[in-house]
Amino acid sequence: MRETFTGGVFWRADPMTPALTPSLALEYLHELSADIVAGVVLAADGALLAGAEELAVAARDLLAAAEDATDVHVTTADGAVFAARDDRHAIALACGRFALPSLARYDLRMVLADLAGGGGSKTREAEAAEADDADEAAA
Amino acid sequence: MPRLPRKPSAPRPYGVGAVTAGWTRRKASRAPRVVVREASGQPHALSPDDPRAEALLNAAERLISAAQREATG
Repeated sequence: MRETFTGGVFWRADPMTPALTPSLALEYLHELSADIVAGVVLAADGALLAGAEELAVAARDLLAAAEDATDVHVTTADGAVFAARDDRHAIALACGRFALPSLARYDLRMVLADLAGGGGSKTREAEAAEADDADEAAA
Repeated sequence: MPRLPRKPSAPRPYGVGAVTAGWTRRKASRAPRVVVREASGQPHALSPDDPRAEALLNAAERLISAAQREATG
């Protein structure tokens, strides 16, 4: 990354990412709360976008059992699970027993909104490739 | 100015009652709990007998076990 100081304004050569990617979203959530043990990001169809496959299997079952619910909070003797979904993504987090539900829910909602902001389920390279294909088809 | 008498509060448990009350509170805090929110955002706590709650608890327990295995391994 290159930064240049030009008369009081820092100019950064790299453009900002258009939206949070699923793997970045998980890292961001880990940084927000020390209570998070592990998490997983799924697409609306259940495809794994970030996280471990073993977690994804249980997360899919959890979301299927939740039926129409958009947010789920389950507390057990061993820990707590928070899950939230929107039209495009679903996130499930396994946390310690003392994670604060309101904060976890807020963080999940914010991250889901950021993911939805600009095609978070696709990488920048995938979007660029699609744009190239569309240009070639148009030409 | 004379102080007004304090308003009496509810009697506090003491002795064996206090121990039992603390035990009951701790037991209640460890009990499994399932809360879902529909699109309206209204929270809805499911009864432990609800089959939907049982399915959610099973899935959550598997998710936590998998997360703990991933964290330790």
